Amino acid sequence: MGRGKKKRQFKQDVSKRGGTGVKPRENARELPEKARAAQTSRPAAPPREDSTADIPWTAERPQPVRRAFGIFKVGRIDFIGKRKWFLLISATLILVSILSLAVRGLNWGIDFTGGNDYVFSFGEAVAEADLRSAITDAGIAGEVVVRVDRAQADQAVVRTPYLDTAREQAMLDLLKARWPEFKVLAGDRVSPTITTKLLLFSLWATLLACVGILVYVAVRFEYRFAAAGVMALVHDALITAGVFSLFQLDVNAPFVAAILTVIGFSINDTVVVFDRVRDNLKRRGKEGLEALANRSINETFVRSVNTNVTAFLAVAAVYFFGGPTTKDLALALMIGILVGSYSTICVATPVWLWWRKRDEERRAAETARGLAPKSRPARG
Amino acid sequence: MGLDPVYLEAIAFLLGAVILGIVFRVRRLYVFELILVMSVVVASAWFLTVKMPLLAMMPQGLDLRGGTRLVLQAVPTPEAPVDTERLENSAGIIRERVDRLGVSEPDIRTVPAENRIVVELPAVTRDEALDICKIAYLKFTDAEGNVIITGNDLKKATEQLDRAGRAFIHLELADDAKRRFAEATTRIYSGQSASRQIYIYLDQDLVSAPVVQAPNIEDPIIEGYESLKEAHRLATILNVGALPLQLEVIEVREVSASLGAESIRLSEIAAAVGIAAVMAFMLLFYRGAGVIADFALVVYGLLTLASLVAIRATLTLPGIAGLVLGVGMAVDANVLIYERIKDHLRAGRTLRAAMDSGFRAALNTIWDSNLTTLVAAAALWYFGWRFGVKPVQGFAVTLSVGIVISMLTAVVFSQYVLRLVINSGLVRKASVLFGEKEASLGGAR
Repeated sequence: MGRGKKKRQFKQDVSKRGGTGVKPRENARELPEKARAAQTSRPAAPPREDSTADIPWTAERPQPVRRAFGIFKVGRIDFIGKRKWFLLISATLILVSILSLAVRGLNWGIDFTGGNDYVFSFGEAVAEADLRSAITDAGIAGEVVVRVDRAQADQAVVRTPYLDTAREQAMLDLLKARWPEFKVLAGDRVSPTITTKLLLFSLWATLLACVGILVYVAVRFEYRFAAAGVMALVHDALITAGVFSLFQLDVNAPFVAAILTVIGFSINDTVVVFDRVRDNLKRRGKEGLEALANRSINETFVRSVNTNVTAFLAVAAVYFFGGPTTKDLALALMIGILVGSYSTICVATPVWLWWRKRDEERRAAETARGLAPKSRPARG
Repeated sequence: MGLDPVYLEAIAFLLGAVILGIVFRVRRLYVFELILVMSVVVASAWFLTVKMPLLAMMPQGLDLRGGTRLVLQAVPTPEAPVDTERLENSAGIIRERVDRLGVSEPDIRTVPAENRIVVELPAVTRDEALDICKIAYLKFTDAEGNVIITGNDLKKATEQLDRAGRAFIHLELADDAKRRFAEATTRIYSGQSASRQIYIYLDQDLVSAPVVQAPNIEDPIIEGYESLKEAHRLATILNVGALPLQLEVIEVREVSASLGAESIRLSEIAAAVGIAAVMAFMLLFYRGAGVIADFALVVYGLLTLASLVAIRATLTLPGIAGLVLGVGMAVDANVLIYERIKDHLRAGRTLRAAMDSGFRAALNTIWDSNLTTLVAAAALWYFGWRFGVKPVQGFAVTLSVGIVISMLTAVVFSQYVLRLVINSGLVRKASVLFGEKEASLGGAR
């Protein structure tokens, strides 16, 4: 109740007793002059008709060239014009990802395949080969992975096929006999019987997230936005998984969490651009779809960069300083954030544009042939 | 009320601040109101990190404090088909064993949909945990393997100390078992068996092989334990007896306390670096408004931690990663608002008008973009809950809490402080607030 009133109060207050408030008059005169001076002193960017048409604020008044981060000419990057290149890049990335997923597959961790994972401490530097032979001596067949981090040579990460309690105990006893200081820092054992379901549920969770997003965006925006947004996030999830496949990084339960977070983050990013497109459609519908899409991307560009940079900084800190347990999670998030910011601009918006244009052309053709009754113009 | 005096002081401080704030507002002393708000934020930050650290109030997951998690799958057998009641009973027996051993804050729950029992025991090693969940089929035999008595004959086992301070277990037997036991001991004592020992098996494991010291024992004791604690452990297992279900251990996860402590140390560093980096970025990019965003970030952090304490969330390692990522994403709402305001400034509006319209325009975007992310977080939570992957669930909860609070702090707190700054007249040029050349920002106030 009091909110609107309060605001009005502030304004009255300033106009009445400028003492404590802002001094309106001086500034109002001073600054536009400066702005104008800056413009005239820059003949390099005269407000030519063609070049200013796609700058958001120039409709009201011409502006000098601004460079975001000192590099990009703000408002003048022709993202949409380069969409064929982006398509090529994305297609290549997706192709590589799918190929890698098909050929190399994912390096499923024990959460998905079953097996035993350990972090051992030996109290002294240990060689990978020694440890490996000690484990095979314990009669453990199958694939045994042994990793000793150079920074912490007294610790080793070991993965074995699934061992039951008795065989596990035999192995631990043998290691204990060989290295007196031997300790188990962490040990995970997952039976292969439970893991098929985890995979199923992961897929379910991902699908669930996508459908939920699809419905929400379709209701709040339109179905073309929803479909384009979901395509972009599938693109992101696929490429993130592709990187994990390419480098054969461990895929465990947190990876599913990472993929779902990437999905959430990617759609968040995309919705902001779509929101601007929706806005501009309402206010500047006559501009032509390409210019409009491009304008929307440009208007939200600084925001996109800033948000992704801060999120990336935070996750990078976890990756570099957070220890081994969360490294893979952080890496998946880092990749996801990078790809997600790219796909918003270079995948989601062009896809929407293509779809919308196709639909409009179809409608135009129909009306031209007189098939449709007086069609109403497409709405946001 | 038995309220901690520290809380009373804090409440008095906040009350005083509110009264002062009202006075300042009525007298339009915006500079003082601003200083007051900032000092309240700084004081709360100090109070909730040093005096009454919020983080210390959160229970820590096994990956941080160390401990063992077991997942037991009930396997149906002809004698013992699996049903919910048997599952609950088994969980109850395990709970009882755990309580008798004095494990603090255990978490034992059933997953009826999967016929599973999940057991989480802090500060317990894998061997101890496996022992606790052992399916105890107890039998006493002679050297030839003839069963004398079984777990069903045992009424109660109690650990005791004799006069010399040695621990032993006293077995109280059912009446007919007493007779059988007396007969057997007489037979064994007289040398009719291969050895003079009685063998006590728990499942297939030989737990103890005491030597029969006298014939005709009706009230047996088992001697030879090193400590009362050790005797207590066996007595517990003997007492609780067999589980009504055959349970198979399908998952064991153990984290030692030392690794947990190391994880805490590393994630503290990571969180500090991450938060500092985000704050520095906002400060460098937005200057004056960046300061406000950073203060909003502090409020965000405190509120997030407080709500996690309130909903009794468990702090896990992925949860911490989620919190740090949340900090990186929390500035998004502020970025959206500031970019809108800058747009409107460039369009020639005054600082105040641009702020009003910028906030309004950004609100819609913030709402849509964050709700879609919440939809994804909900799916994540469902995944964790349905499958009993607690860390994933924790990650989803921290993520959603973070999203909601980041919206709140940006829309309410940042807006309020920005208005105060502008009203106070401390900042008259848009460039000071948004760190760009005036020429490109246009309007002044």
